[in-house]
Amino acid sequence: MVWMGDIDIPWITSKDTSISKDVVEKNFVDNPPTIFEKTAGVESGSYTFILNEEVHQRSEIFEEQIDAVESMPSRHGVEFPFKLLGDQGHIIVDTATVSITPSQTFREAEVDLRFMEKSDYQPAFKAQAGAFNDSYDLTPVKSTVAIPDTVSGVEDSTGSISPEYYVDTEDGKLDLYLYDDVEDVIQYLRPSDYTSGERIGVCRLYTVNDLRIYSTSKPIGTGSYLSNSYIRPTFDSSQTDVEIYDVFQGWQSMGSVNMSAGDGYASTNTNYEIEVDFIDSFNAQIYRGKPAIRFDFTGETKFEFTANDTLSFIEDLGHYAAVENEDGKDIFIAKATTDGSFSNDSSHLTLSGLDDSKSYTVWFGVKPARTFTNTFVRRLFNQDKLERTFIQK
Amino acid sequence: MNIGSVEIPIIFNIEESSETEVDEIDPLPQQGNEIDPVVVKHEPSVQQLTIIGYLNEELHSSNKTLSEQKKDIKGLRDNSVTDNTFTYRNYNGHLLVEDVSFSDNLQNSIVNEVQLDVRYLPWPKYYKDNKP
Repeated sequence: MVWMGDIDIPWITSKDTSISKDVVEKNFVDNPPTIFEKTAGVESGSYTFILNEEVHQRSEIFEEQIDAVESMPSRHGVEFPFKLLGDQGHIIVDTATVSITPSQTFREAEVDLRFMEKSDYQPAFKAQAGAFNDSYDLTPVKSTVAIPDTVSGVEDSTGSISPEYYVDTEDGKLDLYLYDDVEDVIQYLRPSDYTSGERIGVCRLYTVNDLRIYSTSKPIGTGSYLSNSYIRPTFDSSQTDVEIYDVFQGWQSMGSVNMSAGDGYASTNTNYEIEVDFIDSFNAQIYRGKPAIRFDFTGETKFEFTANDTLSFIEDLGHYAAVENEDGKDIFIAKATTDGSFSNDSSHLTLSGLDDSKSYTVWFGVKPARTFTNTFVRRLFNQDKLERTFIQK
Repeated sequence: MNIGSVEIPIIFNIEESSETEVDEIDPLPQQGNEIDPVVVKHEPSVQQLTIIGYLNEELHSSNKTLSEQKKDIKGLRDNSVTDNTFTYRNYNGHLLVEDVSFSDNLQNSIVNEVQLDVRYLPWPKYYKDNKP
């Protein structure tokens, strides 16, 4: 059983890779031939997998395992740290093929890939914060990226950097590092347990039957849910239920928002971000390390949170309003429009006065323990560009 | 198994394939230092399926002859994609049938092997107004 990032492969039965280097030979009349070597290509080849339901470390069924393998070509190679025998690095999959013979108790898969050696390529982010729109001036324009606390050597162009704060997820700690509106590269080094970092607090999508969806092909419907091991929205036919993870109390049900789901699919499905598109209703997005859900919708005159317990008012700063529940959790709704206004009572926090012919973006979430709501909302609003990449050592 | 209204009585194997084009760029050396190749990944293609099945008169729900079954399957290539609904096992979407081929051998009088090379367009990602 081998982890490729967050994907478990029961058995790898063959690895067939090679490095090729073009050679140019020049022959001279009176001298021996001279050989010029060009830069070697990246190691490439194919791996063969056997998928099996009996030995999978997450007990995933074939449908999930096949979807995981099929999703590999569309995911960035940084999501696949890999360590087996003498190989340690990342894999970039360009083709994945799975053979399904219904009578067999296993499935055979083959992936064509390039192998990015740990000694030559290091994971990184290209990051540049920017305002979501010009409705509000939420300066300074900065945002955060979540990186597992198990990594080391986190640097940007200025040198070594420290996190702004950390969060506790069900899988472990994530540090939140700042980036601003000047494009920069944030790099880091994976620990000796090379693959585990891509299993801490990553974004995951599940069906109503708790089947994991890795790709952007599978349909979802009512009862499906997202999780980043910190916040977990479940999309039902009349509302979206929200749970939050507390390191002492486990998963806590907060209440629900008035977003009702139907049929849909994941338009984006990566470890750092998942967006689900419910046709004819709304889109929802979650991000790694952030206890917030972004909703994009039309056809509504209000966005309302209904709590499971009693709420008390904290503040209304125009672009967001916050209340506190009985557990001491600060819950907020933030908007990216000057339309509408906030109100609250003992069990509701409401954004009303919206135009049902217009499209709106709203963030709903909970303030992380070690920061302020105002700061956290500003970071969400200014998130803008964050791309995973490799840098060469 | 059905593709739209066309029945394939026996399914032997389905091969799924996902693909993304990847380019390797070799930058010129800078300041005398060689630079390792840069790998660029492009957008993924639509998923491909290769479906291998068998035609058979006895197992066909309407007892169509092998000739009639072959004619129906060949017609899949000319159908509109939205007519080729596909809801077999975990698949739920439409198929763009690119190629259909039959293996002819002595067993033709009883079974006829057929291979379909198709692009799978899952619903509701594609053709969301045409629920299969």
